[in-house]
Amino acid sequence: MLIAGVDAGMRFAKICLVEDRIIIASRCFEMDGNFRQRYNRALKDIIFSVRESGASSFKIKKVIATGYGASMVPHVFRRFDESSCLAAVSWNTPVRARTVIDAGGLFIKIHNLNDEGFVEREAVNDKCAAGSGRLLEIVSDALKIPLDTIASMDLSDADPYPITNSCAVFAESELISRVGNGIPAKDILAGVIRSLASKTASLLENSRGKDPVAITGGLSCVAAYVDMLIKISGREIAILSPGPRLAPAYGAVLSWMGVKKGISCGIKLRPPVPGRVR
Amino acid sequence: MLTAGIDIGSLTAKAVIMEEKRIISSSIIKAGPNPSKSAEEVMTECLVQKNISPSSIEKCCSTGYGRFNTPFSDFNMSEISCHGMGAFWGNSNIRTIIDIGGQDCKIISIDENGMVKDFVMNDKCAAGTGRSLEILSRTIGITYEELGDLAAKSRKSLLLTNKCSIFMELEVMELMQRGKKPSDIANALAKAVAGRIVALTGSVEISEGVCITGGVSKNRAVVRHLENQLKTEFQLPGIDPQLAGATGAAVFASQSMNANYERR
Repeated sequence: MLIAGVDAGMRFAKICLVEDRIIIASRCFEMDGNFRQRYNRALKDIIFSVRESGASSFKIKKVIATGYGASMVPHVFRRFDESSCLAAVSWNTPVRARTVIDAGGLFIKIHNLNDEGFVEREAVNDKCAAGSGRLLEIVSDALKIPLDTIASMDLSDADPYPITNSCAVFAESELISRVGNGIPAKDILAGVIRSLASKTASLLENSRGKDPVAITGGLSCVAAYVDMLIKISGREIAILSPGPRLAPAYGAVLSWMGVKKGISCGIKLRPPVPGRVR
Repeated sequence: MLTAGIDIGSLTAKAVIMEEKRIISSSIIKAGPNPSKSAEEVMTECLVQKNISPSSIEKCCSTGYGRFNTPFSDFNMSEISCHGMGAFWGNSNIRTIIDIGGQDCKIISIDENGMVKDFVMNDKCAAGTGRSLEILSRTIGITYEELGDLAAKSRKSLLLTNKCSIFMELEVMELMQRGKKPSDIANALAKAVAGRIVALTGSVEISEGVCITGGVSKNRAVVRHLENQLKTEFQLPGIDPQLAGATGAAVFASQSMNANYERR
């Protein structure tokens, strides 16, 4: 039976098709005004690719949604909170991380799980966007280097440029003028990544998360960021399988499977994400 | 005796030329990335307007964030003193100045001589500055200048709960997706920005005779919400509110020439 997990995040939406706990196809697209249209196109595309691959069944039985825009996804069978989805993924991988960092487009969240895989606490940067992926996005626009290139860049030999502004809005103007002053793009990038990593590390410290630690979300695609975070926090941080982007979407499906079987794996204890309007 | 005051801000550059106790010429231009170049441009414009030769300016004082890079100025003063003095020079009843510029926002309390008693300043976070208004009005799809008029048309009160400009941007986008009217969103925006400024007022005493200066003071909506939330009525500074800093600088320049200079 094919089940689609949809994670409608702040910046990107991810769809994964799961058959018997295995991801058989996935798509990722940018969130914008006409979400529905893009969602339908992506869904059509994904079904087509499944059919091409010669799968026996290609009819999606259920759609399970999570993420910030879960209420926008049409024909949803059930919605889950992001933290319960991440808890489900974490508890279904061999690592069984007790602390899951979700470094997304606008929010960095630290989920602390207890001994049984329940979400105990979460810490979010809900007051200030200074440490979020948005800054990296702004910088990639200013430097005209696409995010995918930044993700695979080796910045180990760069001399990180110290950013004096803590506000993302001010940092933008600071960095644009620094590019004009002729500071190499690599140094600026390294500086931004160091500042992001140090903010995540202090959030991690504050949440008093236990080992093992796993990371997911769009920012964790950036190898330099993860390396820097490991260096600053001094902890071992693994990337949550299946891959940095798909974890919550896959977790939605797992959560639903758990609910179906009566195993309440990682169901949320506390009301969700501040910063959203209802 | 001619004196000049020049205020190089983050978004605009302002210059004022004063003769005795009168402003005879002033100009405001958009500031470029190079402060010394903007300073020269704005000064040239100011001089050309009234056909004044540069050599007849006896003293020039610079202020604003580009004050150290103004090549022709004789000395510089901090923008806090200049804003205080400029507003006081225009209207001697003023004791508190709320200055909202492009990059920062400050509340200055002055004594009966126009000197700074106390001040509080936010330059760490873009919330509550002209910059966040600019970004957010771009999100609604209007220019910053149109925001005040649009907000005046609002009928329904909406609430923006976030503090950070970037999160506010997201909230605005969400409200737009839910089909809220742009005028209501603009009003909510002005209210939220005003709220950030009011949050600052907790740490400095607000005495009677409040005036508002800086670029955002030209935005009717923000000013109205500020008046409501502070429960006070703003006094007119008697000069163009955007020119308060430059005027203050010019006043300091003439004071430095003549110790017995009498204020208006």
